[in-house]
Amino acid sequence: MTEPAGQTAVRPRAPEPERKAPRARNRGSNVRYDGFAARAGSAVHLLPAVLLVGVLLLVPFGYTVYQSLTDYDGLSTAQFVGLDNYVALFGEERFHRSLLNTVIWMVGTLLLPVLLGLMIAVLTNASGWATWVRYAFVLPYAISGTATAVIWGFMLRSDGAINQVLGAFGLDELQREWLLSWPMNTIVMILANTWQAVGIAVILFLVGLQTVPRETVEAGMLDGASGFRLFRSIVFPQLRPVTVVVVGISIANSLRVFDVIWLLTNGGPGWVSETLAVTMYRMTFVLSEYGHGSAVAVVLAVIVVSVSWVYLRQQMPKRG
Amino acid sequence: MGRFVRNGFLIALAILWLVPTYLLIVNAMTPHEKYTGSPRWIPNGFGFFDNLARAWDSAELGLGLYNSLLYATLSAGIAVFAAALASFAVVIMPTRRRGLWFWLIYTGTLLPLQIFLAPLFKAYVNVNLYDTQLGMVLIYAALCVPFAFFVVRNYLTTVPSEVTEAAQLDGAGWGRLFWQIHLPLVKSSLQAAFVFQFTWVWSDLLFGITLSTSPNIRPVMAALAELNSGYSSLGPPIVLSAALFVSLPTVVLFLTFQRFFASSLKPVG
Amino acid sequence: MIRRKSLVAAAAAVLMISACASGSETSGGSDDTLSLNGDRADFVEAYEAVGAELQEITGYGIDPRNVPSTENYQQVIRSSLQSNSATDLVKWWSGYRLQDLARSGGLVNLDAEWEAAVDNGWVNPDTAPSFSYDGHVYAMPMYKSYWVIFYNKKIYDDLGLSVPTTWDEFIGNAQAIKDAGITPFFATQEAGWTSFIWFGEILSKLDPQFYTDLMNGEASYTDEPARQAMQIWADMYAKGFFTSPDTAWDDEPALLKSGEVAMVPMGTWRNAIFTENGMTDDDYGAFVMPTITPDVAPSVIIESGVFAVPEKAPNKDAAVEALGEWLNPDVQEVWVDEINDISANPEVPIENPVLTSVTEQVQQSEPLELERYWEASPPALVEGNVKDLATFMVQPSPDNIDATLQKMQERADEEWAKWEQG
Repeated sequence: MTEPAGQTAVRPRAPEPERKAPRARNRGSNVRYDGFAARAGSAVHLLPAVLLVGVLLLVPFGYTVYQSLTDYDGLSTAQFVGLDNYVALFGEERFHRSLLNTVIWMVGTLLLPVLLGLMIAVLTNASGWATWVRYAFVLPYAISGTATAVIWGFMLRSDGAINQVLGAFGLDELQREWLLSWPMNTIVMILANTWQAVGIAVILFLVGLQTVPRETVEAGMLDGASGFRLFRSIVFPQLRPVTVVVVGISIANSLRVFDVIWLLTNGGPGWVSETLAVTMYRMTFVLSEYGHGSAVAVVLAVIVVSVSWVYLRQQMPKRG
Repeated sequence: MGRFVRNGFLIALAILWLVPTYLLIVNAMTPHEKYTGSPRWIPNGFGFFDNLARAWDSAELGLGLYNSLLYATLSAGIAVFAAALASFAVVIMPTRRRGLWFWLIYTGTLLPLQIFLAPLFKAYVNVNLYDTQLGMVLIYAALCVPFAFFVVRNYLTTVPSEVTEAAQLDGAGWGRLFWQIHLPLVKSSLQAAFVFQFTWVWSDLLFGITLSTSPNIRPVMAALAELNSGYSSLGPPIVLSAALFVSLPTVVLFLTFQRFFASSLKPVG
Repeated sequence: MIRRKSLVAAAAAVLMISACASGSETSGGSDDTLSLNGDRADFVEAYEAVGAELQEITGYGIDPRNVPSTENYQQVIRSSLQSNSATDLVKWWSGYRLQDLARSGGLVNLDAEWEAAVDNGWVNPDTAPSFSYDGHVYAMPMYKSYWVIFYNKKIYDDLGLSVPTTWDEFIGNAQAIKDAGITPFFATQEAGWTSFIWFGEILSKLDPQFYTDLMNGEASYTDEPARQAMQIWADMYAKGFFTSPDTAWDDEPALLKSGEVAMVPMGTWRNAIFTENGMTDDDYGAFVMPTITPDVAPSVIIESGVFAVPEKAPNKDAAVEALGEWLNPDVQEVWVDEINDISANPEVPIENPVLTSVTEQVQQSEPLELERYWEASPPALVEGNVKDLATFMVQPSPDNIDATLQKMQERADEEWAKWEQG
């Protein structure tokens, strides 16, 4: 870092609301710029990202929204059915369970990877042996999903490793059919997901810790702060931008979790461990009810976007 | 004392974390003909290379590895670059409607991936991108942009505005600001974003199996998926040995960046 | 200076991308090969081998592709039937799953090819309904798998058991195996679809006519035979005969081979995997499950994967011609030798001793041939009911029988109505 960042400067900047370009708010507003040239410059900078995301992701999403208003089955011509798919969904008991599981996943995925990630990052941020311990947490992130699914199947099945260990220690009464009953199966799958997902949080927090200026910490220590108090009052506020990133990613990921559930329980037994992402997949890919599946996708998208929006609006306050 | 408790806790947690990794390695080494249908804790022979050879032959992993390397490098690179450009536009430049642009791009990472499959498959077939390397690079790049954008943008906001102002007073244009001032300042976030996106592309299965089918196009995870169906005659040890092997590049990448992260870290608290 | 730098970078990227390859199997197939799409990677080598044989007869070889996930595969086929990205041949399922595609008008009528095969004695004409929609044939059978019980011969020998011919012997064997500390039967809901296996087996051996009626929507899940079948299944669970319902289906061959499980109900297509795992007829055998009572007509459940030709196939005529020769004994010999299963052409000899033993039993008892649960009712009904059966397997108590069957019947009412609507 070339310049030690002053404490006040290390604040996230809000995506500003769409209003007329507020001159006074812009950085470098003391520099004259020609409106058209600057706008053209912005456009050139934005173009690649907007083009990629717009054409390849947002257009297909728009198509999905349209499909959710039809009874398309992948073969015959689609009929427009209005909001029928949505009405049908909200009347289904299974859909309520799926919503509930989605909420459980969101809470679990927000709490576990974020808190554990922060804790591990701070604890392993010293030099020496702790650096090596970090590998244990970071490596699973780099292991392929196929291996993860196979190995957690090994762990969690009734004849699997966890029950073997419990049996070996004489703790037979703790043995469970981990994947077969709700809400146990959802909880253990959240843990399995945490095993893999925590690595990204650890690394992001480590990068964040890197930006904490030494001077600030030393100043805090001179003031007599140490240990947890030093962390809470001096270091943690500095980590806010990175915390926003980690939480933002966790929200998005928690609502999109699919592989772990599909490969470990198939959403079952029956439907009990389905989340919205799994429900959508089953309806579209297994039952070929494209309309229904698209409606679930839209509901899920609305939830993810609005939760993210509320969180980010609040965490990235507008700056005057 | 506090330190002792803290270290004890850390080590216990790490051991817990290592159990699945350990099982992965032991079972990948189990000779496939000695696998009995339940996980092994202790190796009973060394069959890793034999397992891997069988997997390699039946799934043409070599081509897959090459493709994945191509897609992961190109897509993550394109995505991080596009994300850096866009971040610069919404943070540093006096762009109008920043909020709109932010959400337009960021939404891409919020939508559930499965909804893209059917429309993209159709569209790809219509424009002859189905089962092409170009098609794979494009979709992976698009999927990587939002997350990279989110990371880079948030780091860019931590650059003090004095930096921009001072450079502008020196007469620097946007181009110079971007290339010579801001890119170097947020280098670590660019690297982090690249590593994550590389890993993500490398691990993707969904798009690999939907948008490609030929062995010379499909990424390695799609090739691996052929081994891991109940209809395959190859048991878990073979799948695990292949899965472990194809994870090596991302593991190496992570280890490399670990050292980079570690070396530039300063001890706090 | 800077602008030039970014231009160079952009140019380099464009250059790299434009050098990108397109798929060897999708970019304009040649005239003398037929593209074939499937979801079974283990068949790819067999497709190639049989393609070489077909080429000698018809002049057309086979260029196989594969989609490793069945769910994705189904969606790829549905999408491609309407576009010009269809392959010349597609692997599909028989029964209602085939009808689902055929009634959209996306498949080529194969009546003439079927008639010719029947005239040549290459196929049993009675099986036509499995490959037909509205009285017309739209597909050719890939194989004819019989659903049997595979058993570990070593366990049977060690315990002095013999192959059961009655239900009492069957259950007696299971009890003896259980007493010896071995799990008698494999059963799992882990792979999703596998939950219908025991339900279908028990019901078909209890009342084959009811089984057929139920599949066709002419009987109810709440009728007595269905309840009785569930009761028998629940009793077997109560006796501890089954593996845990979350056992990995992938582990099944290893469990049978290592002797941790004594008996596995599965189609004879599973034979290929057992042999590839190094098992021979010294290690395992197969028998058709006995009927519940001696007065019930013997029956066996049949499964046939199929090949169909999309209307929009680029080499449609050639593909139809190739399917006309598909059941030719010369072609089938190569094919069944590769896939280690039984040919739909009864003339084709069987080499594998375990398979031979199955066909001998079938010839002896001349059982009714029933369609497998998976293909025997509309797809959405089957997909839903296997989930209810899976839930039952986790809680297989007699108290859950009525509720389970009630739910299955409610779904049957709903899905049959949808199906009739088209």
